[in-house]
Amino acid sequence: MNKVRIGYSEMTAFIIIMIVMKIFIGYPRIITQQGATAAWLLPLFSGLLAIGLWLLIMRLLERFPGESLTKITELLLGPVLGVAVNIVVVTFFCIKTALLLRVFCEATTLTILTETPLSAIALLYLFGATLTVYHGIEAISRSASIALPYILFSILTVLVVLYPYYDFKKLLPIMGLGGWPLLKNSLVGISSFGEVIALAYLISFLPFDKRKIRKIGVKSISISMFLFTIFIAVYLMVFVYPTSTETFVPIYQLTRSIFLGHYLQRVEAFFITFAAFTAFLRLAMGLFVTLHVLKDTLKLPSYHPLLAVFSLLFFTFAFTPKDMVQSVYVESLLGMNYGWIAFVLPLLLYLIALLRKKGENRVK
Amino acid sequence: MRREVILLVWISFCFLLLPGCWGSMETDQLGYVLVIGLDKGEENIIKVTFQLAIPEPIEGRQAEKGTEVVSVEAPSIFAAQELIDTFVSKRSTIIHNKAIVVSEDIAREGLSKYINPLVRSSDLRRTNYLLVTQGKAHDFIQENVNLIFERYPSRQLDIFMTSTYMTGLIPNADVHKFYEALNSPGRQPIAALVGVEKKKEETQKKEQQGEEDKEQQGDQDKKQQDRQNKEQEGEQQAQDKKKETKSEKEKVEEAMAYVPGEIPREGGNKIEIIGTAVFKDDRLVGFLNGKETRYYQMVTGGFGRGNFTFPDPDPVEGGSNIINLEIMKGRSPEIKVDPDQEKINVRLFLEGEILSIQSGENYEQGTLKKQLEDYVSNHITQEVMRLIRKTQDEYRSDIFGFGEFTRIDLLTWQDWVDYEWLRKYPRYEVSVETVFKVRRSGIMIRTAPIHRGGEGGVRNE
Amino acid sequence: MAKGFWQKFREKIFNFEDIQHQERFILTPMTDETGNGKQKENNAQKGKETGEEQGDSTQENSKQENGGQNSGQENGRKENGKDSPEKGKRKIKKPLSLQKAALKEIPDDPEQLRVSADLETNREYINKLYVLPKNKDIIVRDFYIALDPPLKAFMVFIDGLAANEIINNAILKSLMVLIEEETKVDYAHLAEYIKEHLLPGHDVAVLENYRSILDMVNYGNTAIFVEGSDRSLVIETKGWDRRTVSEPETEQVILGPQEAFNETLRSNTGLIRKAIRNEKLITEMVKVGSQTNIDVAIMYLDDIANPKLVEEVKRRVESIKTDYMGAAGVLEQFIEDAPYSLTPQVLTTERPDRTVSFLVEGHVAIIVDGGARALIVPITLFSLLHTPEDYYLRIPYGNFVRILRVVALFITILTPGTYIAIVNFHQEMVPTELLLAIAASHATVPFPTVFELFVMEFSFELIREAGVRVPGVIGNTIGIVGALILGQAAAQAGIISPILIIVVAITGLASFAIPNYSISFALRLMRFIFAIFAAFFGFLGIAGGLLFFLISLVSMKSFGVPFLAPVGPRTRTEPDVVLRGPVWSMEKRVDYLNPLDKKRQPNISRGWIKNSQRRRKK
Repeated sequence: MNKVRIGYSEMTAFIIIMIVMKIFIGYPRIITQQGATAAWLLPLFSGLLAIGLWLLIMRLLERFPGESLTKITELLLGPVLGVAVNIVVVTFFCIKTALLLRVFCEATTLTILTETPLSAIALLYLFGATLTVYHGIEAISRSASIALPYILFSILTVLVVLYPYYDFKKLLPIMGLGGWPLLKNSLVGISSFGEVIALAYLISFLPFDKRKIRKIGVKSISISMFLFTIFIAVYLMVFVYPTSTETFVPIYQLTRSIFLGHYLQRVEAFFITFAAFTAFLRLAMGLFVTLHVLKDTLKLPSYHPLLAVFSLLFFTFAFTPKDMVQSVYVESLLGMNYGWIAFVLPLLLYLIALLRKKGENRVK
Repeated sequence: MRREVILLVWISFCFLLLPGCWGSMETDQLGYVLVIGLDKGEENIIKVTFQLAIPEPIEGRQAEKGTEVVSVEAPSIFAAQELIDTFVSKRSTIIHNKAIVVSEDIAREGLSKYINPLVRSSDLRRTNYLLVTQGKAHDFIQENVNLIFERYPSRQLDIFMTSTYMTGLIPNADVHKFYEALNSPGRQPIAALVGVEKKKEETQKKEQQGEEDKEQQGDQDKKQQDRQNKEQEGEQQAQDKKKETKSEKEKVEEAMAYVPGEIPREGGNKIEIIGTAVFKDDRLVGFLNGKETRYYQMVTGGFGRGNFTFPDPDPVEGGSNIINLEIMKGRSPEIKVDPDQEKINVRLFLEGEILSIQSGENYEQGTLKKQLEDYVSNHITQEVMRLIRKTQDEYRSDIFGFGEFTRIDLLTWQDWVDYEWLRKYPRYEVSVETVFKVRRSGIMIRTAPIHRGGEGGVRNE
Repeated sequence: MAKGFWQKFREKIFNFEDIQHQERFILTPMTDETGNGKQKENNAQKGKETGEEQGDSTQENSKQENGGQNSGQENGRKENGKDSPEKGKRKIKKPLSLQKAALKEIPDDPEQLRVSADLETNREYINKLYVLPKNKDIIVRDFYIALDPPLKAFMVFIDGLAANEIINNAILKSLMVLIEEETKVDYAHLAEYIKEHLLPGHDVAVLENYRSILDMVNYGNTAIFVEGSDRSLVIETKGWDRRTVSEPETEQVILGPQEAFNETLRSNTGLIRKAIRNEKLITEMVKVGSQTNIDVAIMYLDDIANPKLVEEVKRRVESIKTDYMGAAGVLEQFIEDAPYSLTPQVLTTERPDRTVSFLVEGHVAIIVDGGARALIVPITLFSLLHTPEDYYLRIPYGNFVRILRVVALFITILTPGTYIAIVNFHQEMVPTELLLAIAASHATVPFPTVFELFVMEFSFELIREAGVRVPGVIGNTIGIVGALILGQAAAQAGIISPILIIVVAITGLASFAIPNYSISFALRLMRFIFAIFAAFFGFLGIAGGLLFFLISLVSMKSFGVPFLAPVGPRTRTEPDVVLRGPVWSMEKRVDYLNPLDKKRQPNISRGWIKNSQRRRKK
């Protein structure tokens, strides 16, 4: 197997886009539901917590320098249990990405192409994602690092341009729904940063420098945390608390409210282009991570033959939920309510590593 | 790369075989609705009026009118939109809609039923203006077909509604703000007030006579007619007397205090946009005229600038002089709401520019300037207090949004909802303070006195 | 190859073959020993005149002969089997003279031929090799070298390639007229003696192998054969009509030099040498083309360019086996990584100053003799979008032009697609009045917008292509003006809406702002693809098209360097990707080339600032 390598900044862009994609679908709505007027504090707390957990996970990775999490799972849990756990992880990624595909199609149908059937849109998304994954992680990560500034810039533009609606009183009362719900939701909220685990699975593509890899994780979580916080703050100011829990795709509503005079109104289709681009990349990333972990688990020489099969699998899974509401509900279930498992698993592995005294650094 | 090229070509070809492209509409297939009007319907639940734009051809023939007004009765707005397709040869779309005009009777019943589809629809936007009209929305839209300065009402309404920053005579009202206030425990919604110009007295009389003639077609009793004529003359004389007895001061006070249909004017567009419609919960409860709307804007911080005319504070020579000031917002108003003591304290910061001093007094400098400032501040304070009391006593609705300021003191959302501000609002004590400073006085810094030439020489005939 | 039934039938009835075979055998008799040679010559002649009778394999063989790549023995072996049916039809010939008997020993391949001491033998060889007297270009000039006793000699040169002046002055005059009375000639080493004492040419070689002699004569040199010397003198006398160094035609700048490459390799390399006065500038020569033997020069700086890169370039160029390479563009297609891709992976330029700037960065330049362009490898997308003008202008002006070009790039690709997407799918984006104007103008048009757009774009491309063919001044004006007038007329006829004309005109104008010819083609093609995507999926289609474009760019490599190099994989680079930094801050060479010497300028390259009073005080 020839070693494919990507650079650190590309990997950072990769992970950032994986995490930030949530903004373009229902994530802000869910957070405002959980936090009312203090919803903007939730990503802040969750982010800080996630950074702390990531540092712990880094220690696990440092014990086995250069090995990806799939290999570590096998080493620690033994061949049978390790492979089983890895297959569960693959299934998790697979279903999550397929549901994301469905939610993207729903969002696209709602926002820009109201009469196109869902399957056509899904075909287009899948075709783009498959083509991207065919060219390997180099293509995905380089496209991500090129596209990232534009995506961030477009999100920030939307937020800045809504300046006439700013009214900081709407962010009060400061505690939102109360202290205890705030804390609980912050804890559960670390699942919004769960994609950083993909970094642990893709670590074999980077030359192993523990400081730099730690920095990648910390940087991606903090940038996304910052973005989430200001996005939700502006979202709460434009759409006051109870209203903000009503919209399906918050960024679409935000862009619809842009009114800069007679000529610069109704420009949301322009921003949806960036959202669609991010959707393509996110689907490609999800597909790639799934295939890569599967390849590592089953020790296959290459994942390319499985590409077409998994595309079809995604298509099938995507159209399993019956309607829009159910698809959104299931996706948020996997993403928000149970996504924290992504952090728990490596921590458990770390505990096991400590107990069994395994790993290189232990000897030193 | 070659494989991808082939794959791409193949898939594109497959797409070509599918029937048409979904959702692709040519620009001339669509009929663009610019204004929607809602009335109570006679044959069905609501009567919806659509103003459709007629595209103007670039060269050659000019269409006579810019828009076509279509009305249909249906149970809901979207049902009406579908019905239109049966007698309009375009597929109507509301993506370019600019304003929603609601008639008084529907507004008095409660707008929340109609707001919901407007907010849920992916075609209608929350940036559409929400206008309430006294009378029928259909009439309003119908009068607005022949525009003078533009071709389509969308531009016209945009320009009209920006006068909220220029004159302050209408509030900043769109569906978004309405919906926001509807869902907030801290304020009540408003809408802009529109109407049709007042009918002239002669035309009014002609209409009356026309109606009476019709009633009396069979009956040619001249005596009755004479009597009626005399009555009408008497009425006219009484009205003229009323006009004469209005003092100069009252006339000055009355300026700007109009609702649509009362402005004494001739020419221009047939519609008038001035004033506010006050809502309590989702029902229309009353109107604010132009003058009151300005003070309302001052308290909410949306006031940009406006032209104010006051009677001269130091009346010399009979007191029929006025002072004309352009008053602008200095800073955002400071509002403090104390939920324990149930007090509201409002401080307004205004600046002014002197436009005209008819009496020639040097109000630009010195003690006279202070006198002018105090006079204006007191005047504005009184008017604002009167307005706030009006909303408290008569309408019992907090359109200013004072409730939003109570958020600062409370900790959680539930606490705020439980506080039930909207019920408590009428009980609150309000104190208003205005800080007004004259900053500029036009190009002139003092007025030189006029020298008079004594009696005689002026012919009075 | 077996003859078909019909051929055999024809031959039997009309006896064609008999007659032709008889004629063939006049020149050379058939013997057993040199059966190979004769048959080869047979087949060579047949191959030249009518290759049809024996079919393809004969032609193949004759081609191989002419290429000189197969040994004579192999040829003979292949033909032996085929020639058997002809052996029976020979006739007896009259005996040969001594000369001709010597001739029969000639292996036909010039590589194995050596100069003989006998002048007439050489003359026969030359006549045969150059197919004289049929070949009127070759001049054989006999003369006597004015020694005592006079030596007979003749020289061979190609009229039109060799410079008459030099021949007359350097060779004929000096050998026939200007030799002093008392010169002692060293007859044992005649050729060297003539070269060192009698022949005032600046570049004289002494050769004995006919292959190399022929190569030199073919290139414009003159070969002199002297009676009694078994070596020949070859003097450099190149002097064909060539275009002088003129102004660049496609890459004009205002503030820079106005020289462009022309078709002569030596003057092109001379232009580069003029600008890089460095002994480490290496020019390696490779011959390409079996029929044409064109020289290809590979130039690089020995202490900067990555040796692996140079090796790869040489490997690719040397391994090309073709018969004809007309221009640099053909070589580009032979050596590029992805010939089917939309974007080029090699930069062609006609400016020597641009080539020099790339050489100094560590790239490799390839110049083909006869093509007025230099190929630069490896290349990134950003180099394709730069012009030398950006560097010659001051920083604000250069950056302004760069930004303008980036905007033009996006306009070229996206405008038609965006127009279709907005007008067909997202009508809410257009301001109301404009939309109603578009609707009004479209009401009279019987075709859908997509069709209109494609027709207009296609006619614009047609006009652009036609403008290239029309000569002179008219050609330039026809381009845009013609398209606009055509569009205006179509709008008045009601076939096209006027707004579309503006869209197409703006797109066309923006595409003229792209500096590199190849990539402007790529962009022109991309806009059609974007329009198709947009017609199906609106803005989502545009997002998809952008993704496909980006993926194809990002995964393309040009000689091992990723195509979007300083941005794609984020590598350290000079401040010169989109916007241009100041000229004094180009401190390190670009990382993606891995040059041998990374430093370009010291930290402070403006000495007058470094040594200024204020700095020293600090």
